[in-house]
This record gives sequence, structure tokens and C-alpha cells, in this order.
Amino acid sequence: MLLSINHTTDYRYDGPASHSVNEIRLHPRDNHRQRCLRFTLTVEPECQLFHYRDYFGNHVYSFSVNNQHRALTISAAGLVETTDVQPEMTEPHDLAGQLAALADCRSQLAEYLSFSRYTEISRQQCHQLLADAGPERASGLLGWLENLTGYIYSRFAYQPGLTTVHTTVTETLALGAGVCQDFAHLMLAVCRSCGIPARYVSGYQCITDLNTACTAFAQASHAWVEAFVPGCGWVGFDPTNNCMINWRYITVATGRDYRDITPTRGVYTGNCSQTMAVSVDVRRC
Amino acid sequence: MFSNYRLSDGYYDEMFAPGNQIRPHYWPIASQLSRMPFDHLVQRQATMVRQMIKQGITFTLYNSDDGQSLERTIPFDIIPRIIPEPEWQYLQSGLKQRITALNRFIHDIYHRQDIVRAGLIPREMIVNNTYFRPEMKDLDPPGGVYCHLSGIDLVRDRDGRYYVLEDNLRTPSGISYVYKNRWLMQQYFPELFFTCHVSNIDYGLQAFLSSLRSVAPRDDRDPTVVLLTPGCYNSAYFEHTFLAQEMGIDLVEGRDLVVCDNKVYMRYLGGRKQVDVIYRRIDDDFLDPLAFRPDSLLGVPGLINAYRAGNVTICNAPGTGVADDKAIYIHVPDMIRFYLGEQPIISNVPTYVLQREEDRRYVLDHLTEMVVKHTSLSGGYGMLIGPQAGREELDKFRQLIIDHPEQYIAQPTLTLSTVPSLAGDQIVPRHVDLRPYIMFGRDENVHILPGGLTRVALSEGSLVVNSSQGGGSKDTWVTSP
Repeated sequence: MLLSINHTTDYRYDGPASHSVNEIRLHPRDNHRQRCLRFTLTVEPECQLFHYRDYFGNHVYSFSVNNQHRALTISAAGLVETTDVQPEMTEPHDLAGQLAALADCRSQLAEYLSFSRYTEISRQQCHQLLADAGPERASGLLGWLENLTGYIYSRFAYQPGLTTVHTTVTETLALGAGVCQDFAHLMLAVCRSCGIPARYVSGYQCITDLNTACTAFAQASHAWVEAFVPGCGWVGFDPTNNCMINWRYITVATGRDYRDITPTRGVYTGNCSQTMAVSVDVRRC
Repeated sequence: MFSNYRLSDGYYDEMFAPGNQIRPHYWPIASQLSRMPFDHLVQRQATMVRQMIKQGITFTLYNSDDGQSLERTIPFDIIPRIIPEPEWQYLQSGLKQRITALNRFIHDIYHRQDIVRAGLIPREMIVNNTYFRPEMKDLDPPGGVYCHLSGIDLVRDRDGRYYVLEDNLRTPSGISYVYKNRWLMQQYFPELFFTCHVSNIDYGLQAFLSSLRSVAPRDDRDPTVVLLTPGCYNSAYFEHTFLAQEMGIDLVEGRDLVVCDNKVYMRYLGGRKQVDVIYRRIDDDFLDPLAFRPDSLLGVPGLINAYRAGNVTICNAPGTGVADDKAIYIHVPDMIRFYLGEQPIISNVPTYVLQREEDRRYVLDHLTEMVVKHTSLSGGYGMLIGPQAGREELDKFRQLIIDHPEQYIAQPTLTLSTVPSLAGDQIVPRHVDLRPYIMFGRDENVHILPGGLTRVALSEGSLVVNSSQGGGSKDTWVTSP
């Protein structure tokens, strides 16, 4: 499926800002189920862009706007081709065998098994959650992950505005609600506690054709989880929508948690405050 | 003067051999000191301490109990620690070997990770290390240098053998005291230098500046080198001002620097100037709010990308801490064999890995004989000294080890060597360690400052020499007959 993306981030300052240094991760990745055919990035005021690939292979652009300015606009436009790839198990599998196979990957995937400030979860909290969710009722690891995805979806309410980009798993557990970022962190925490390597994915979900009357643009920016399944590779799960990843999903960046993939990050000088407006439009071409 | 000097049993004394025989390299100063009335020695030391206060040679202690910090001078002891030239040659070759292996290790883990592939160090130990910086992956610092200035702490056991206690590869402090100690001694005790041939340290900082200039990214005859300090509230601020003055480079804070199109500029009255090399005394975490801690006000936004773009050199490189972690320390002898194909010249202190059940059980059974250290804290913080700990402290560490074995290592309590030191109205043995300073430049060029900083534990029986824990220092001489 061919999908187009238009993502504009607009900063306004109530006074003169200067020496604004920024780093953005908005360029969709190429992987086994998607190809980025075109990507253009425009920054206003005009400036030089510096591109590199980070530790996780994400595209990063950095730039600075040193002269005084009262507005900064970052516009990213992309064209991505996605496919539906169903995870296929190449070998017979059972949960115990798969978990044992994961033990051999411990070292190579160590980054995705460790905890960060975002994904810290106590043994007791995790135990409690697993007892409620009962993911082991499934026959294999894929089913285990689907069950966990479904549990997070049904047990936690989607409620924008309740949490922030700094919310931790412990806070989400206490609130019983959150947004896609919180659910992704929660799922990472549980997977990693159980020895399943899991990584954070940021990207877009194409939903404009689902209900044309409601253009919930901001919702097109999305976050989900990929878990490593032996014999299958990285498989995507979306606990916010209780589904596996399909052609509607565009992967932009992956990392250990939100901090590794922050889409736009910047520091500026000036005795003024900033407001940000974001518009995201993802549609089928 | 030394007639009442009583050697402590079971310790190596730097000046006296067993049987109270003075070791030959101490003969010249022993005869001079013996001819001197004792109270003159006391007066001279008092003069030197007054001078230190006058010159503002201070260090700030952070007190975690009441949050107050205390600025004070580092206690100075007048009797020098002397290392004979042949012994220094041996140390020099060992330190050179060690820093070369460590620098190659850091390059390797941020590139191919051959040492991991060879199965010598578990990968998770590196990538999940607090000081591992993913930002450094595949980045090539100019000249391949990561550890431009490091300090490697050495101790001597009861048989006089040297051991490496720890490596300091981030922003080791103390080099200014080496100079101040020497200048105080030369000023107020010049006659001691008449009969001894003491290796000169005067060229050390010029050598350091040359090695900083050698790693400038631009092919520029006259690169701009600056020292980046967190500011006057830092414990080692005195040292920052000292080094900047001695090397004739600008002392800057984060707010003095600005990044524009991935180049770093220094602001000054009337304009700005591009900076090529930054000798930074700010921790990685605070270096760049865009790359690391977003709440840092000390750093320079965009610095890491300027570094990545090859427009500025950061010394020491970010991410060197992964190699001086106390858990990685255990593997340094393996690194030397792996990268250099040599046997380690100076050994490590035997170390117990608390994740190994056998080691852990042994340590818990012998906790009163052990020194237990947190793997990622330094400066004597988060540390247990078994033989001197109370019941409560022992219990606390026992629980910490059981709960977080991966965060601690244990070593048998070392018998640090002693040097005669002035205490009130007598001369007594006090425990010392040694921190030589190693400069590493382009083409693995190593320069080691002759001697280094001798830190001395000034209270009787104490084995903690860290300045942050109230230790003092001595002038350190390398002498040839």
C-alpha cells in the first residue's frame, strides 16, 4: 500500500529566541515490510541540515537556527510503501522451547532486555499483572504476546491528557490509563521482565480512511512495540488498538524507549516561552 | 629524627627496610633531615600549609549528610615519597601497556566489538553499562584517542609489589597538586633538592598541551584549545583555573560556547572564535543537553553533533567511563593479552565477582576482611572497609550484596605501603597510594608525568586516601643516584 505523510511541527515564541539547536527523527526506516520512497524535510527559517544514523539505525537530522526568530516550522513529507507481512513460524514451537531459545540471544539483544527510567517495573507489579493477564494460556510465544497485548488494551483506558512524555510504567499502572506511549512502555517492561527482548517503535498509523468524518490528525502519530520471537524475528504488536502490525503502520524509529526515538528535540536561548502545534496527516495514495 | 620511628608490622615501608635499615634511595634526604631540629621541620610544614591557603589551593568536600559542602586545603605532608628510577622505569612500561590496551578496548567496543566476539567480555556488561554511550558508536575521534589524560591508581602490598587499584579514564583530578606540591617543596625546602637528582615535571603540562593540539580536527597550525569547566562550585575548580593558566588556554563555561551549523564557537567581547579542541572537566551526562541529560545547564547544546560532524575534539572522549568501571576492571589483564599479545606488567588487585555464587559466598563469610565497592561510584563513596566497619554497616552491605550482586565487587583489604609522615610532635608511618598521570596522544604516543600524586591517609591505621574522604598528599620524587 502506498501511504503519504505530511507532518508539520510549528513552534511559536512569545519573544525573540536564538541559538536553537535541534535534532529530529522523522524519516521512516526501511525494513522487511516497508520502503521509504521519498522523504523531504523543510525547516523555516532556512538552515543547514546534518544527517546521520544513530546507534539503532534511525535517520537523524540536526540543525541550528542561531539568529533571532519568533517561529520555527519543521515540515516532513514522505511517501512510504507498506505491505502486510504475517509472522510465519519456520519451526515447530512451544512457549518453553521458545523462551529457552531466547536465552541464547541474551547477549546479542542485551539492550532490549534492560530497564530504563521509563520501563522500570517491580517484580511484584509484574507478577500481579501476569497473573491477571494469563498470557501463558497461549501455546507459543506469539500467542503469549497477543494475549498480553489484548490484556493491556482491555485493562487500561485510552485517555489523552492524563499522562506526559515523562510518565513511567509505575505511574501508568497506578492511573490505569494513558496513551500509546504509556502502553508501549508497559508492554516493554513486562516483556523484558520475562526475558523477551522488546523495543519501542515510533511511527504513524493510517486511520484517515476509517472514519472520514472524524479527522483525528494527532492520533496518526503512534507508538507500539516489537518483540523478538525466535524463528520469526521482530514482530510488532499494538496494545493501544489490540492488533498486530499491518499495512496501516509506518515505522519511523526504534529504540529502547521513548528517549531513544524522541521525534523532535531542541534547546533554545531566550527569555521567552514556547508553544507547539503539530499536525500529522497520513493517507492512502 | 627517625630514631623513634616504629614500622607497622606487615606493611611495606617506602623508606625503611625491615630492621629499620634506611633504603638507599632515601639516604640523601635522611641524612639532611636528621641534621635538622625537629621543630624546624614542623615550622616549615606549617609555612607550606599557610601558603596553600593563601594561594587558594583548595578542594570542596560534598557532605551527603547535611547537604553542606566544605572548601578546604588538601593536607600536605612535608616528607616526600621517593621512587628510585629503575622502579619508575618498570612502572612506566606497565602504565604505558595498560593505557594502550584500555584505549584500544574503548575503540573496539564502539566499533567491531572483537573482544566480545572472542568471548572475553559479555556483551551485556558493556551495552548495559551506565557509562556506555550509544552516541559514540562508529564515531572516530581524531587520532583514535579516547583517553587523553588519565590517572591509574597504584598500591603496594606487603611484599612491595605494585598493583593497579583502579583506572580513572573520565576526568581524573589531582594533577594540579603534583605541581603545587613540587613548587612548595622547591620554595620552602630547596636544600633537599641539592643532594638528590629529582626528575623534572616542568614540561609535563606543555606535553599535555601538545598532545591536545595534536588531536585537533582541522589541519590548522594554531588550533584553539579550551578548558570547559562546570564552574566555580565544582570541587576541582582550583585545578581548572590552574591548568588553563599554565597551558595558556581559555577557561570557559558552557554558556561561553555556542554551536552554529555543527561548529563550536567561543563568545568573547567583540566577536566569536571557532574552537577546535575542548579539554572538558564536565561529566558526560552534563556535556550536551540535546544528547544527554536535557536538564543540564552546564553543557553546550549541540556539542555532540559538532563532534560527530568532525568539527571539534572532546577530551577525554565521551563514553570512556565504560572502561574504568570496577566490573570491567577485572577484565583489563585479558584486554592486555587480547589487544597487545603481552602479559600484564603490573597486576590487578585480586577481585571477587559477586555474581559468581562461589565468590559471593566467600565474600559474605569473610566480609570483615574485605573492601566492597560499588562498581560505578568513585572517590571513596559507596564503599565498605570490612576491618573498620561497625556491625550496622556490615549488615547494610551484606544486604546490598545479596540484593544487587552485579553492582558490587570485593577485594581483600590491601596492606597499603607506608611513608614516614609528620603527625603532631613525631614522625609516624602513614598509608599511601600513587596516582600517576598518563597523557595519550596521536599514534599511541604516551607521556607519563614522572611520579604523580601520592595520596596519604593521615589518621592512624586509615587506608582511605581519597581527597574526597579527607586524605592528604605528598610531593612525589623519581630520583636517580
